[in-house]
Amino acid sequence: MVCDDAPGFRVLMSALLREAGIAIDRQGESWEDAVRLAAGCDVVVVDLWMPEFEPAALAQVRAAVPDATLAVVTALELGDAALRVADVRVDLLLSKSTPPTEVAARIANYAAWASSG
Amino acid sequence: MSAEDGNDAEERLIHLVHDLRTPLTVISGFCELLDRQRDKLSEEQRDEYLGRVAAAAAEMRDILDRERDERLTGP
Repeated sequence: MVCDDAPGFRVLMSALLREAGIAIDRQGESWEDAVRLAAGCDVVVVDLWMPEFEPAALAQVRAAVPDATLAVVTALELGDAALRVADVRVDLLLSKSTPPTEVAARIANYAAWASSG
Repeated sequence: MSAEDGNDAEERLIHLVHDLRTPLTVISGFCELLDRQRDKLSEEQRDEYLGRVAAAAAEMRDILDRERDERLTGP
């Protein structure tokens, strides 16, 4: 699942993850969507600001998919973002400054490693 | 410029950088995809991706125009 309120980024990340071998079968644009759609996903990629950050929603997403790879991709400075998600077990915290192909590769590599263990 | 004005200006710059980052990422990402997958994409996918690039560029232009207008007229 990819959730981002920027449709261009959402479509881009979905395409790049598919290219990296991750099947994306659902997309959302809000924290409400993220909570509603997360169940059953092996890989969940969410933006932080959709349009605001909702810590309770992030916690609900993690609770819905305790074993999934949970990646947060943000345009915020990572130090600031890390403080905001500190109460939830996030597997990857990635910056939108990082080339998106690399973001997708890191998520795919982590998911492959996590599923092999 | 007072210290308060300086802080406001810095905060606006941080927000501006934040707002521009996503559409810029979209532009660079789709350009990479279009280049890498040029022989595999359908015409429909190619049109969609080009449309996304154009939309992101327009979004950046709107953000910069808004910032310029606010600086000229005040917030």
